[in-house]
Amino acid sequence: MSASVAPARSDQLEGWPDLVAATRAELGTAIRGISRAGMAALAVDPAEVALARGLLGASPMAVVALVSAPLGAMTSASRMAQAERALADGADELAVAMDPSLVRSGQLGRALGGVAPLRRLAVGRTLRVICHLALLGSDLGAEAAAGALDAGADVLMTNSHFDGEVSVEQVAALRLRVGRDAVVVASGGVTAPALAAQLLRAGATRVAVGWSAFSTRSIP
Amino acid sequence: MISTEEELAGLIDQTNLEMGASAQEIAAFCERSVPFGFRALCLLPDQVEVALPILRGTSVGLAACVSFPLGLDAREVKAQEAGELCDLGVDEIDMVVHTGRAREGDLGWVEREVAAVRRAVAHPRLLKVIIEVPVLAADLVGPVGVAAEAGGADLVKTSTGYKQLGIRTTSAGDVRLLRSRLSPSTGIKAAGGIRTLGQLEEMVDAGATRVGASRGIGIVEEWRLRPAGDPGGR
Repeated sequence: MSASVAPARSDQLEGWPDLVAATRAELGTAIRGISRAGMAALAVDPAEVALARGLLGASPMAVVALVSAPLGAMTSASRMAQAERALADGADELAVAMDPSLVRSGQLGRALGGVAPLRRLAVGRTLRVICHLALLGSDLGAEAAAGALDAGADVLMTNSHFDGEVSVEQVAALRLRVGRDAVVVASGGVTAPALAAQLLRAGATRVAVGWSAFSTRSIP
Repeated sequence: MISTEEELAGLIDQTNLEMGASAQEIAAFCERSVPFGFRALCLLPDQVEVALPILRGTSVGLAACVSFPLGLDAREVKAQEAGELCDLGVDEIDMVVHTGRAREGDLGWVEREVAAVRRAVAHPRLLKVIIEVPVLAADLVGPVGVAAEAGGADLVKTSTGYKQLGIRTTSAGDVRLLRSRLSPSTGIKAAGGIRTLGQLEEMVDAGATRVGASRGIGIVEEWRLRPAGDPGGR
C-alpha cells in the first residue's frame, strides 16, 4: 500500500459473508466484530437474516440480504420468494446478483428485467445489484451496471465473492461509466485494509470486507 | 465392477455448474453430452430452460441444483425453488443442506429442510441431498447423512464440488463411511474432484451408485481406450 493512501474509515466499510458453512457461534463472533468495528452495513446470506437482525439489536448497521447470490442463477420466481422471505425476516436492504449467464448470452434486457420486480417489492428500501465485473469484464460489467441503475438500483456492488477479486481497475472503469453520483460498493474478495483504501481512492463509495477478517475458525 | 459403456454412462451425472456459462455454451454442452447416454445432466436452475428442449425425447435425464452452492436459504425457499424446477420439467433435484447447521450437528434442522423439499419433489422424481462432507467433522458425516435419509433423500451426495469454496475433494473414504451408515436402499452420489475413470471406479467400489463429474465425456472416452480384458473392468 502506498503511504499516500489514507486508511478507510469504518463508515466506508461493510461486512460481506465469506465464511463457508459457518455455525451460529461463528456467525455471532463475526457479526459482533463487524458491529464493534462500526461498519456501515452487513451483507448476510438469506438464511441468516433473522439471526443477524437479532444479534445486531438496536445497532444502526443496515442488514443487507443477498438474493440469488453468489451465482445469480436462480429463476425469477425463486428470487422473489427469497427476497420476500428476507424482508419478512428483517432485512433493511436487498442485494440481488444479476444473472451473469443471461448477460453473457446477449440477453442483458432479460437480466435487467429481473431487477424490476424486486424494485417493486422493496419499495422504500435500498435495492442493490451485484454486477459481476470480475466475471463479465469491465466493459460488459459496466454496461450491465449502468442498466441496473436505469432499472431502479440504488447501489451497485461490483462482485459476489465467487466472481473473483475486485480490482482497482474495475472500480475505476465502473466509476467512469456510471458517473460520480452513483453509489458503488467494491465487493469480492477484500480482506486487507490496504486494498480497501486503494479501492476507495479508485472511486468506490464503500468497500465490502469479508467476514473472515473477523474469524479465526477453520474447516476440517 | 463396471462391465459395459452403457453401465458406466448410466452412473454419471454429467455436470456443468459454471457460473455465468452462456446459453450457447450450455446448449453445446448438452448436445455434446447426449450421445454418450449419461444418466443425467446436472445444471444450475437458470439453465434448465436451455437444456429441456435439447434433452426432450432422449434417454438423458435433467437434474437441477437447489440452494446451490451454499445451502443458505430458508427451507420454504428451497422447497419453492425445487417445486418450480419440477414444474418446469426436471427429473432430479440436487439440493444443498444448510451446511452451517450441519456442521453444528443440528440433525433436526437437516431432516426438516430435506423433508420440506421432499414434499415439493414427488416421486418418481429423485431427490439428491448434498451434505458437503468436506466441511463436516468425521463423526458428523454419518449422522448428517442419516438425517438427510430420514428427511426423504433418495441419494445422499457427498459434495457440491464447487472449487470457489476452497474445500477438499471427495474421497473414497467419505463414500465408505456413508455407505456404512445409510440404508442399502439409499443411493450415494460421489461428487467433487472426480476427473478420471480410475477415480470413478474407486468411488463405485466404495459404494457410490452415482457419480457427478464435469469430465464425464473424458471418462467415457478413457473407457473406450482401455484394452479389452484390462483388470480395471473391461
